[in-house]
Amino acid sequence: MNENTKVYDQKGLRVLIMLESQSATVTWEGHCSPEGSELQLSTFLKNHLAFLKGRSLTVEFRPLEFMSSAFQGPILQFLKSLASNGIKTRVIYSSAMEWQRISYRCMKVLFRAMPQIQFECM
Amino acid sequence: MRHRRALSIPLMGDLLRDMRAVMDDLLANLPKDLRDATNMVAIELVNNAAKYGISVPAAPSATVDLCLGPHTIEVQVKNGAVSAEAVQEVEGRIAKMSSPARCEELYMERLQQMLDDPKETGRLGLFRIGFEGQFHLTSTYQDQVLTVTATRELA
Repeated sequence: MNENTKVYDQKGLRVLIMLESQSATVTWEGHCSPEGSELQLSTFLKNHLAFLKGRSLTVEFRPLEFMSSAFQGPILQFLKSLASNGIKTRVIYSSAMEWQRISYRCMKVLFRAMPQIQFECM
Repeated sequence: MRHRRALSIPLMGDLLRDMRAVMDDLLANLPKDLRDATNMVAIELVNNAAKYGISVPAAPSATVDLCLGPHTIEVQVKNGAVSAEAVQEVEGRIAKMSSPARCEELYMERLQQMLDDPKETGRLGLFRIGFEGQFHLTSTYQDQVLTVTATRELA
């Protein structure tokens, strides 16, 4: 880990923000279970939004095994804040997991009016 | 003089870990997508029971029952509930979920509300069970015990 890597690691969920000069990646790993804190996660994401400005961003959900519906709100607000800050973002879901395929389809519909956020399922 | 009492505090993390172990064992021969869906359904229902359930004589603690039959898989969660308003809200949401298409509409509507207003949180899990999990939900309320049953046909 170095100053270009920020980590949220709580109750089985790990979110890594990796910063490069022109780009950044936010990778979600593990289990987003209800035992985790949505508030802590939201705060972590909000606190690091400034680092993402001016970079092209990839949000990588493929290593995420499970997501409790309690975390849908923070994720929606995070993606919305990326769009409102003009951060060009590519969000990647796994085609190998049914729940991720469904999330991909839903997100694509919800964010259709925010072209800065592009969704892929692979 | 010091008086001391000790109580053990059940941890949500332990409960979820135990439940995953039970489910991994019960569902081992099912396809991964179906195991994932059942896992999601159980976690959503158990989380609701842990959050909102209370102890009543007929249900001192909440329970979850998993049943894998030849044609169906069923997750049943029971918890004490004394608020008529809260029970009606759950029953009302389940009653709206009359078809898979309706479950999808309700789920998308709720996501849209949560996207539009950051203060809108929760009340998504039941719709997710119907839409994403493809489980059919029913509920009963008797002796202050709310029973929510999620059932999915096996292909």
